[in-house]
Amino acid sequence: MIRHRTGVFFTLPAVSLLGAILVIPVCWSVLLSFETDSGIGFGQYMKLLKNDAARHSFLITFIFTFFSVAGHIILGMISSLLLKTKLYLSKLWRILLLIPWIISPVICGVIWRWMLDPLYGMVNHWLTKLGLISQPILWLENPFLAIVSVTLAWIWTGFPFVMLIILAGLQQIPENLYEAAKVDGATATQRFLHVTLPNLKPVLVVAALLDTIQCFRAFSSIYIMTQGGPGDTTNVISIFIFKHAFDYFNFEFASSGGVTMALVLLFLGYLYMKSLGEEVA
Amino acid sequence: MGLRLRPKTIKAIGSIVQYILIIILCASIMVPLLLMITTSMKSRGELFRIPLTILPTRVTFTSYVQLWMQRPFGTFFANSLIVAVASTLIATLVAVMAGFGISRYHVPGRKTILAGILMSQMIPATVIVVPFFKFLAAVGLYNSLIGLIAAHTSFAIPFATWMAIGFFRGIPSQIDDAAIVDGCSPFQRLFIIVVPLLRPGLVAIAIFTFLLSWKEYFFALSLASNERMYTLPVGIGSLVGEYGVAWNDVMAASVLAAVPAIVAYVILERHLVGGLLTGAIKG
Repeated sequence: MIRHRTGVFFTLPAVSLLGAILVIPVCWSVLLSFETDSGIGFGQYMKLLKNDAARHSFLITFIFTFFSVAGHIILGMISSLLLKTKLYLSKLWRILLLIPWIISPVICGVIWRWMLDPLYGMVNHWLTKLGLISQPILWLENPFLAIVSVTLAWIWTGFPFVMLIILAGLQQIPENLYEAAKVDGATATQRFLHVTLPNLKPVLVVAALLDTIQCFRAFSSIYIMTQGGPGDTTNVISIFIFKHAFDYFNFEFASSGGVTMALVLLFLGYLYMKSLGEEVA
Repeated sequence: MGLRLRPKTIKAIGSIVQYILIIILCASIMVPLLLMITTSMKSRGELFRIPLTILPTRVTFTSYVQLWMQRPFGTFFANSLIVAVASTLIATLVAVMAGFGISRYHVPGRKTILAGILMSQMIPATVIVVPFFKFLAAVGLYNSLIGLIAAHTSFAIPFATWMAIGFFRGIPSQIDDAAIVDGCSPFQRLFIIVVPLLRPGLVAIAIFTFLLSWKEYFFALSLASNERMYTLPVGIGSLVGEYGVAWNDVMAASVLAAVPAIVAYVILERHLVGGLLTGAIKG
């Protein structure tokens, strides 16, 4: 009985704080999202479905997330494989390769925005010097290129997170599996395809899920680079909600967006939990 | 007749390819970072001079000086520090206690709490920012560090608790069970026996939470309109966004904001427990 109370006592601060600063605001947000001009109802959610800008926002978020996660996984795989084999330098390199994730995405956005500056940015400078372009490319002003640019910048910013997860997974693959394969005469490529990849699959699933959750919420670097523009082109869902809340002060509509976003993320989180094999309470 | 390469040649080519890839990878990280540093040391005129220079022809630190004079950069730094340290302390303490309670004692609704902790990490800032804004405005805590600390704690606690539970699972309870036999109170058991065992994990939790708060932008931007309440990311963001951006100032601010984060991480690296991320994969 004492044990019973002790457990509760120690868990209480966390649970009650979370209740106050997380659960209550979420409930409040849900309530707000049901307030419409004509009383209580699904009006805001209807607006969300019918609003072209909202649909575009969800679409662009999905596209951005898909390509970002793909880029992260590929880059993460390559870098973790490289880190694993060249262990004697890996400590220094591991820190270097992590820097884009350590520093604020605001800084990453700022660096990329400067690099992509049409007239004074490094990218156009080198492209011109190499003779590849004659006119400056408007990376952030052209709608299509803007999407490409923010995605590239985010791939740069976020891949270390995935790299770490994959690296941890790689280090768990028993060495004797590789030894056995070598004894059987497998080449490096064959070892990769038949030992590394199959054993890495669950880790890749976890990494992809966690990263999808992160990319879906992306805000800072995109907001710094384009503010959601040009126009509405790069208005990912976080930026969309932010603007409706704090530029247009349409709190109810913003809340409906936020709740929708939370539902998507909770669903992804549920998938993550299942992939861990834990029982869902 | 095909060309058959000797195994040794293949290995050599493979090694060379690996080195090239490493160089490309590191270059793609280092070049933008170096650009940040070199830009911060340029004068305003040189930023926009054509032909563009990579390295500053004259290294100047005026940006670094101007930062403190034209904007309350010191305030940005202090705000970031206060919010990060406060949210880290609260989250770490609360998380360690909760991890201890859940892993060592019977807690009713344990599975629900665990699932809840995990799920609360999925809740985006966008869904709680409006209630935070409304509440803080109503009680006059908008444009306050307390409000921002509360906001940061809202994601710090779930994350820290989840990590703490993972670490506690790595310490067999037999070790501290012995303490009960000796007549320790739970508090003593936690703080005198377990915490020292948990130290690398504690450092990891603290530094991770610190980093998360240090680089946070969304809440910091939403809950402060007064420049004196800006954190570093918001301060840096405020330097951009207008026309005629003073990129050297922006980069100087970025360098100054990045250094503490990198230093904090390097400290973490020393204390890194091997299975830090195993928790994410194995639960």
